[in-house]
Amino acid sequence: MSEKIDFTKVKRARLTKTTPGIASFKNKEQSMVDFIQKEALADQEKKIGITWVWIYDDKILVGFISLAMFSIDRKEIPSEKRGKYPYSTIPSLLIGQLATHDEYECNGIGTSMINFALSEAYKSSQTIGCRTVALHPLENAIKWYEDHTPFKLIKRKEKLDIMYFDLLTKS
Amino acid sequence: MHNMALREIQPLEENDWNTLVDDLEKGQTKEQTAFLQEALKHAESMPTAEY
Repeated sequence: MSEKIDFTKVKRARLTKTTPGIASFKNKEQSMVDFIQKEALADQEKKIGITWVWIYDDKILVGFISLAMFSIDRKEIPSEKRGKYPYSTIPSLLIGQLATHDEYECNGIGTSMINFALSEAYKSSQTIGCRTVALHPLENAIKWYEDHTPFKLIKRKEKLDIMYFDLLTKS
Repeated sequence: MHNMALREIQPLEENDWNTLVDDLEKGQTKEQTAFLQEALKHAESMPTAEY
């Protein structure tokens, strides 16, 4: 059962060693718990991925998102089959990890984190090439993205699916 | 080195690549445009703290 929260008491912060609530973060996916408790800071120190945390009431870590510059690449394709796009990569912002505390779902935290990723990507795209925000969703998270966001899905045979959001606004 | 933790996107095969490129050629949907505008407003209004 999710606990309702007062969203005005939620703050966003960059992950640090003293971020509150890391040890008590809960998620059905153990890999998410391991990431925030053991791996996120190491990635951040190497500037591989920056993790942003959503903190409720200055003490509970209710969600996190890790962002990194990335590109969607194509496998080697013969030149005659490459179509109109001449490059082999699409510059993108990668949502490398995203998770909400199990006890604080359905409070708009996930949407708030997606809003932040889109906002950062859009602002970056004014100065640096960045065409999409993209991610490999966990299998059980695809429905959430489809219900709550207009990310598009590419289903892949025997490979992880891809979801993406096009940042190019039509003029 | 610790294990790879970020969920990297693996390179796309020809069919998937062409699907993506064809879609990007169309630009954003109206729904995406509206969602992005709301996202910008929301992100701007949220306080950033330091812990």
